[in-house]
Amino acid sequence: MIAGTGCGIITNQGAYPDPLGEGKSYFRQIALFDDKFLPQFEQIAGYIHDNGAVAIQQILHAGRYGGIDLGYCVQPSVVPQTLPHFRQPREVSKEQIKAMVTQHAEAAKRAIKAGFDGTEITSFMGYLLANFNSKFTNRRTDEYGGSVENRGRFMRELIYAIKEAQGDDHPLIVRLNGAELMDVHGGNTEDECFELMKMAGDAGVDMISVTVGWQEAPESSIGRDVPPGHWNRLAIRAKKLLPNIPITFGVRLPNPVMANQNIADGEFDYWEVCRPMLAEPELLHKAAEDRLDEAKHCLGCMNCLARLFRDLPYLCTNNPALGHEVEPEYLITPAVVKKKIMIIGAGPAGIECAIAATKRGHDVTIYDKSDSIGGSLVGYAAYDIANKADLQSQISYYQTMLNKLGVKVNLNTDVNPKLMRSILHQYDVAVLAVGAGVDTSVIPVPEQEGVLVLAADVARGKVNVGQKVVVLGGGKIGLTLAEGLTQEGKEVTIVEKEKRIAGDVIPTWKWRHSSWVDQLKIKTLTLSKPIKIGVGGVTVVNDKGEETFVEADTVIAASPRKPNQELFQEFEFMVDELHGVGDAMVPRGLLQAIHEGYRLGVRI
Amino acid sequence: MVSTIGEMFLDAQGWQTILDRRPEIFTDMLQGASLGILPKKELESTGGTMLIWIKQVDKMAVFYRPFTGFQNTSVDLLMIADDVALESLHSKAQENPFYEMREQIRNGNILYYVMKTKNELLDLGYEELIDVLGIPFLGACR
Ligand SMILES: Cc1cc2nc3c(=O)[nH]c(=O)nc-3n(C[C@H](O)[C@H](O)[C@H](O)COP(=O)(O)O)c2cc1C
Repeated sequence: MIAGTGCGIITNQGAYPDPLGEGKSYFRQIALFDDKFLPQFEQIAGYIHDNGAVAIQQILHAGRYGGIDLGYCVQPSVVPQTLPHFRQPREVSKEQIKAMVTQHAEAAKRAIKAGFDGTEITSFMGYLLANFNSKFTNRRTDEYGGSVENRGRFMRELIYAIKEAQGDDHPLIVRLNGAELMDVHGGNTEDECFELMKMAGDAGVDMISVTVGWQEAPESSIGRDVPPGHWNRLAIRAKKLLPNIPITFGVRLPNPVMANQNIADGEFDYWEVCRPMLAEPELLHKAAEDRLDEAKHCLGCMNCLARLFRDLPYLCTNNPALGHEVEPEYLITPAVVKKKIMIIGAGPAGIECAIAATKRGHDVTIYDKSDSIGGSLVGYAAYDIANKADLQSQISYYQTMLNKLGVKVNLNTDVNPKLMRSILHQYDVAVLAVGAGVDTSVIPVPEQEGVLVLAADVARGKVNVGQKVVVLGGGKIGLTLAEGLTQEGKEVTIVEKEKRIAGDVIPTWKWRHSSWVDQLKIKTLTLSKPIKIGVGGVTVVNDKGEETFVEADTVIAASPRKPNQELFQEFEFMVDELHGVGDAMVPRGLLQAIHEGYRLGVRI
Repeated sequence: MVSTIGEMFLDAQGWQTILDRRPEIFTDMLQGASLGILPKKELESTGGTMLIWIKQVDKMAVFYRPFTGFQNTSVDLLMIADDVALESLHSKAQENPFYEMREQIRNGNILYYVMKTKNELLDLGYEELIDVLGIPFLGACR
């Protein structure tokens, strides 16, 4: 699948070069420390060549982030971790440094033997090479530490040894930080990063890939809050500095049209792409055929890396088949029995199901009671302060696909037992993709009408929100609304019954919400619940029984979430097959909606 | 009455009062769990003094120990505070010093190191303190 993406150069995932696994950074990482691995590498190089691409094997020793199966990691100096996911450091001796250089060279030789055209070493996100280069982790007093010249010695030795091992006919690429984003920790300045890049060029590397950030950097480098194109300036600087060395770049640059323009403008020479291709393996073909509106795109949500660093295989929110390409159960195959399918709910779960089922030959009609498609994604997109356009483009993609596939969409249509009776026997299958609402039965009845409103109605702009706002629920829905409303100038207080906010937010995004909440000065009352929604405000009680009155013109009910399951029983005897997907089963989020919708669509 | 940053750092009684005001942060911690605070300027010196909070049976208590490098440190978490951070902690001692620590961590005036793994910290009962200080616990790559 990857070999068929249409890329000119394909770099295989980084393999660790040492038999102990000190360089191993995540679950199921591939290894290249022995000839016994050759057959698999030969196969991969073969796939890449069969598709006409240049095959590069990356050698990745994770250094500070390595040793995941061991109780320690190795580094130039002992600098303890700032993220508790990683292992505690041991300083490497000069003999160990020599051995590591040899292991890299041998791994490179092995890759060439397996049929790869060249190799790559990487300092992406703070791995071993970056640890030597950076003054944050390299505090050595011998010839490998101190000045930039000395810190770069390990890199130069790697370059010389690998070039010698693999021969001049085989290119060596090095990935180097244009910015570490580690200033607070005393990491390299951008000037030092570029000094090191120049050093790599002078040492004879054949191509330089410019990367950004370390895993423990306090700011975003590749998340969805980083606008596409944000880091291009680093590639431009690299190109200016090293006009004769090919520069490759693509950090958070998900749009092929933009990348094409950047290359035409001379900003860099090659577009490098990872997550956008995980989200849409057909991206290049669709771009070439002018069908980019049919392409899914990387949302920058980081679910891929969140999984990898929880010792699970990575997945993609937008591509449910990723990692399952050889399993027929995940593929779109022609349906043996063509059915008439009604899908109730035009959110991501319903639409994903509709697209997959239509592609298989089924006749699909979607119903939704609102006046537009997108379900709760519409509201998220409206209030999201990270990247509204990204989420909105997901909805445009859905609209395009529904149009192109000819899926019938009946908006403003409430599907209820009466309607079902009127269309009895018209459909073979009904899919309930009706999402979730809020269980208002546990919220005090407001003393004044119009004060208490539902999160979904606010999100879709159906109700007016006053200046002083209380949001009941500090999960992702409540937080998104609170952040968006605060940016609009409202005074917002979040009331959350749990000890912490953001309980339902993925690990890689929790920090983002809590720092927004702090930055925007949104007041949060945790371990608290409303006991009275009275005139002018809400009375809240905490776990110690203390009562607080919070002034509010509007109270938004964002939690507890409740799946909309009423129709399951009502429709039981009205249609042959009845299924449910997404939040209508258990309220969760976009990933599960997309995955469940798709998986049902390929199965019906 | 302490008036300089240096005096404030060595004011064991003052720190104890701060800890005693928020006992709930430390309730779940096992006896012996410990957090060190080191003034940044002492990081490079070999004979620096480190403030340590060590969990006792009933409460978190304040001690001082010499700091002779990362390798020899037995604390679970180590905070490196610059003068700006120490000054602000000093001035906010009567208000909410834990919130102030969180702010200073965010601003980069307090750097922290975790000397134990995620599971070890959880087993030692650090969840609440880590949350109060806003230390990223699970995230990697942003
Ligand atoms: C699942 C996953 C695995 C990755 N593995 C590697 C790796 O082995 N070596 C490396 O240098 N970068 C690795 N990266 C980083 C990417 O190569 C890329 O630099 C980064 O994702 C930013 O580019 P993008 O916006 O195109 O995804 C990985 C990224 C992801 C999402």
